[in-house]
Amino acid sequence: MQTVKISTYQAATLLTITMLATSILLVPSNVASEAGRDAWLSFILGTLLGMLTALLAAALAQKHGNAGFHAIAEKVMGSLPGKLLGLLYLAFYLLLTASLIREFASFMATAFMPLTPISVFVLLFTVSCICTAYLGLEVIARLSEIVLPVIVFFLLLILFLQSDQYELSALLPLLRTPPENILRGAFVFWGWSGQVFFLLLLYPYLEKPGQALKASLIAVSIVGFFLTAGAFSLETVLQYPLTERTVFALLAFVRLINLTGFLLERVDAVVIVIWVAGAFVKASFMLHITSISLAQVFGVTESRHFLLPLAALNSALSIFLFESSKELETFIHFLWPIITLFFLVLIPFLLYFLSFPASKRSSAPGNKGGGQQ
Amino acid sequence: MKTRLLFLCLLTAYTLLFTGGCWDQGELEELALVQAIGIDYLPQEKKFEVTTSIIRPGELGAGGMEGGIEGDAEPMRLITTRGKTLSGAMEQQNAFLSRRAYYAHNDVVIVGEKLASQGMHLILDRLTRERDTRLTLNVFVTGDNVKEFLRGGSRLEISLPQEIRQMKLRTNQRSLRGEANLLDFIRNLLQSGQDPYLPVVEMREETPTSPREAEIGETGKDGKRENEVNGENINGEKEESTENKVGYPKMYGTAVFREDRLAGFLDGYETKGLLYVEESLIDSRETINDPEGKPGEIVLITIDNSSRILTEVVNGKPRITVKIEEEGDICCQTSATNLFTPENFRRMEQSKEEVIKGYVKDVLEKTRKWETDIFGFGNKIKQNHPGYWEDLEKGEWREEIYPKLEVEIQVESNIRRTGLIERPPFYEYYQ
Repeated sequence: MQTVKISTYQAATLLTITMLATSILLVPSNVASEAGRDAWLSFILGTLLGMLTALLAAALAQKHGNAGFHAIAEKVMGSLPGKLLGLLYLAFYLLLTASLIREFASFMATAFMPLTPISVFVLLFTVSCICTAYLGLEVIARLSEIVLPVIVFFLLLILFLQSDQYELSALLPLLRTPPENILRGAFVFWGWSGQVFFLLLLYPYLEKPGQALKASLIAVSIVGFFLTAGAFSLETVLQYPLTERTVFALLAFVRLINLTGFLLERVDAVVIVIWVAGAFVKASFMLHITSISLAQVFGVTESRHFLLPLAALNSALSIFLFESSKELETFIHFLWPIITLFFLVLIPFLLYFLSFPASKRSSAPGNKGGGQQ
Repeated sequence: MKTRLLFLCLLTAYTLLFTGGCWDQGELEELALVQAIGIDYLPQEKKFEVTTSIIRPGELGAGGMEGGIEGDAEPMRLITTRGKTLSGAMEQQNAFLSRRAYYAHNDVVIVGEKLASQGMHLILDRLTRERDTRLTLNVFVTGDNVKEFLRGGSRLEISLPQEIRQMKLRTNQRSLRGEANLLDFIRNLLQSGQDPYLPVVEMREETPTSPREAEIGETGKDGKRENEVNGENINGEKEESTENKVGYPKMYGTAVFREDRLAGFLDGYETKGLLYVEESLIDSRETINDPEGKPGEIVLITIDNSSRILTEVVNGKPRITVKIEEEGDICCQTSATNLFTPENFRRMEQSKEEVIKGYVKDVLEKTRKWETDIFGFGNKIKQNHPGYWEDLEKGEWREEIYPKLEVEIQVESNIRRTGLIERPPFYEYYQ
């Protein structure tokens, strides 16, 4: 297991896709409904918050000799509480993966294939993810290395193709949204930019752990750039009240591409490419993370055996958790940032806080951890 | 090796599952391609009347350019249904169709005057919610009967929907009709301080005059081929009045809305005023009097124009300055004056400025009466003076401020070129 190594570049691409894949489609309209015309500012703030999260993750890892997250948890809190925390995180990973699969299926059904039952998407998608996850982290990392340039190319292309439609005056009046709404928008996006924290799970596999922080900061910047640019173009082309009233703002944006009538139009497939490729890499990555975490918590050496049952659980959860696409959207808009930040910012921060006295006095880490429980 | 082959086979089979389209698989021969939708509202029955113009598959491609006029059958099938809602009426269409109605390749929507007066919100949701329509849809308003309008013929393109589509697509000349599609309409509607507008189409009956059409018209007298003359007259009704006449589309003027309700129409000349301010005018021709007051006129082309709307709020009163800059050539002269003196050039430019100012003032006067701000002055005020805008009450701008708003129109004209001749070669005869 420990022979698996991924490069800094691969870590960066993997983290970028993890954050970019799902956020680019649903988050712009959610943030616009909070921050209105000033959504782009929310995205900039959210990006900065994401960078803080990356700093936290890197600091936590450095404190504990570049160990993975679950190892750190067990080290800081003691074996049993650490394992219990690990179980809690497993539930979080399951929820993340299940909602991701459902997002994928729901998007395909809403926007392209309304007659097809949602379970078909879930099944076909999960089967592909199992195959990838079975081949391990190296393959997922290499896959992300291939997929990210494609996503970036298409995103740049659609931003460029609409550039003659940009109406900058639509951004005016600047900053008339109440600051708390802009912060709420940033908070919604933090639910995604905060996922840079998964860096901490990659630490044991990095070739050069010293460059991990750099990789994660680059990843957050790329994601921040695309979402800010996306928000900017949505506000200047679709313009404010419409951006919050569409479900998939990016899709609505791409559907507008119509160059001189018939030369280039109906390029919706571009969104499918971005979305399917991204979601596929992310879901495979999450499935892999879930299985190795499970193996770590229960001290099993071979994590692959967990893949099939986990995937089955994920597929079932993705269908049963949400009654309708509106429920999914509400979950992603209001609940998801809170859950993500609890797991990816608050608990890690507590762990970091707890590990301070432990390392200084270099004694009784279990004592503090026990107190916490 | 064998496992690898097996894996490859499995992979192929699995990929096929993805690529078949699952339950949503659709073949071209299972689709009825809708080319135009006409929607009107029947106030007495409180129902929508929807007319779709669908390509008849046999005519697709085979007939080529002549399909509409020469082919053995009409290129389009027209279906009219009614329902309590737009979607309901569209569902009724299926009773007449052997294929699934496919709206994704439709980009012409004709809205009747009655529906437009009732409020566009009645149909906007259907046009934006479902995935088979796009925001780039071209929407037009017509004062004519929508059903009759779609029966009209086409003179240059295969069919009426094609003709309307081409008229709208044309990018090298635009001076007589408003320029807006569904997205523009929705954006203007949702932006406070701005009201939307749409281009207008109408039908004009003509006796077919080209040799080909006239010939068909003659054979039409035996009753058998008459339907072809009448274009898409699918019901086979023989209308006495249109025996030799065919309706042809005309895109002229602008329908102005107050919020989402039709407020009135601007004709082609007034539309120029709107287009000058919106910067979307291309190749417009303005007629002015002879600069020396002699008999005859001069026509000037506008090639390039740009405009800016400047706002200021002085002592709590908003003021708007519209700056239009345009340049163009001399197009035609029917007077004997020698135009090529600096004074005459300046005089011509000044008269052109007056003409353009007149267009804009006409629109302003009409829209003030209708209380609709189609120029988006309110939107500009909102952008530049948000504090002032937020203190206004709802509807205050449209009803109280806009009708009395101080608007200054500044036009700067430049005549750049003279065409291929200088003085009219036959100027002696103009005296």
